[in-house]
Amino acid sequence: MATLISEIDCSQHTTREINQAIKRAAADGVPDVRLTNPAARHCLAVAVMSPTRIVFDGPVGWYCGGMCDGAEIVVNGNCGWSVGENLMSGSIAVHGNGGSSAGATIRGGRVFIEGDTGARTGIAMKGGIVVVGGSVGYMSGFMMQRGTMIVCGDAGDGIGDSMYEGTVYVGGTIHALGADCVESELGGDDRALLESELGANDIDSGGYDWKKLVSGRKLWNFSKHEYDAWRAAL
Amino acid sequence: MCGLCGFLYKDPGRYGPVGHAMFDMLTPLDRRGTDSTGVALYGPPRDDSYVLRVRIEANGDTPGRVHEALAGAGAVSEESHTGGNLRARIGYAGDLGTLTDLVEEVPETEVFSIGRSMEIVKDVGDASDVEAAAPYKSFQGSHAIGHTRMATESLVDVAHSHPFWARPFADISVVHNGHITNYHKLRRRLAGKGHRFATGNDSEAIAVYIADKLEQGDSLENALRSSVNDLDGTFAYLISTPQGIGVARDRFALKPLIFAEDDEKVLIASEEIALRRVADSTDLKPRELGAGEVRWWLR
Repeated sequence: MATLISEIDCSQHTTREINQAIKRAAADGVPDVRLTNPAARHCLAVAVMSPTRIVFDGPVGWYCGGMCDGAEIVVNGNCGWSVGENLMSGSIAVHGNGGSSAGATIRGGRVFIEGDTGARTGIAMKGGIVVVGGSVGYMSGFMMQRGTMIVCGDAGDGIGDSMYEGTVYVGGTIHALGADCVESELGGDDRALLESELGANDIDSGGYDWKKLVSGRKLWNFSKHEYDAWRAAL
Repeated sequence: MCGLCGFLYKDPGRYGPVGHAMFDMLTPLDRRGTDSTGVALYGPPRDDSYVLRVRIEANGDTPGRVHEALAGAGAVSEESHTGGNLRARIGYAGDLGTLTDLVEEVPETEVFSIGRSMEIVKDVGDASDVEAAAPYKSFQGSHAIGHTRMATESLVDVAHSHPFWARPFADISVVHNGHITNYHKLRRRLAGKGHRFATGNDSEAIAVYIADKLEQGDSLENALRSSVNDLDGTFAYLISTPQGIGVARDRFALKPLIFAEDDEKVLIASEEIALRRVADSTDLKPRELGAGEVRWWLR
């Protein structure tokens, strides 16, 4: 029987060795893999296709958890750009701040960042849910196609710009809505969703002034009568 | 793509191993380019003299001719050269543009920097290559900025390496990641005011732009804020003066820049991996600079 690896000291291995060790552990059925000293290294735990729990004790760099399908990743530290990019299913929880493009293009699963994230958070989401405990930067939710983004703090300029579908909830101040992003009425289902999703991260949804943002759908089809809207968007 | 880093002690009386900090921070940033690497280091300032860093032809009589040029302008001390890098201190009270011209009249020379406290060291290759060519790791100072370069729009040579000195303004340097798309217009405007440029690199114009603002009496804060509107293109840059470091990021936030600080120091870098080489503490929580945001830290 193969040796079950449950702890990996990143400082002793190359990134390729770390990722191969994680995948070997997952294939061997190890339920919990703990990684120490990640030291903000890039591309850790990418493309893990099994429901293994992977815990990083320390900050991770760019693209952590990208393309994963089913893994449960916990980062006890910050993360760099594009955490969970193209996530298919499973979850990533970052107990720190995030970089730009957090949860970009995810198709499913759940990305949670406890602190603030940078520009283009949740850009081109195609499903899944992104939850940010703090604020998000410029052009977050840009060209969102499906899914849900919850921002407890403030949203930078251009939130939800050119979104096709999906929903963005903002609990703080919205600096400026993006092109064709409109505020919609917040209903009971929305409040229930916020309570449930934030409750999963021990956040009380009651202390926020929630705004619900959706697509205005004016950019779905070109109309010469809406020329000004297109000009502003482009 | 380029890598940026900065390190500053907040206490105005504090000096420490900033050269080593730069080496440690630049080493993991090599993935962002190793065409060239450089640092601008700020030591204890001396009012009576300037330190010059000059790129020279490694062989021949160039060092001697540079010495003659300097000796004609003032009292020269602390003179040394390693390969193609010459360092000298000069007691001089005249115009720095004139002093620069005097040195550069010697063929195959380029003045990297002149300052009361600032010294620029740069060369092609990565952080270790530059340390081998012109040692900087042992430098003790108050703050420093560093750069590792992946060239995209001008030559790969020492002259086009960062940091850039805001010639002829003493002690001002810049490191930049990105492209300034209105560079020619900006340069023409600054050249029209009498400023001169040593290279065709867009980043040099940022240094001169900020120095020009400071010369007009603007604060570093105002100069940084103006730059976000006046510079087109993508940029994250660090500008350093004897008093501290300022940072700015373009309005589209296309180039990475994070910072972290505690009571003792400020750390700035393109990526957290550089910060973690000099600060293990999990208490340091880096945050990304926002779109169009500027920050500055003065000692």
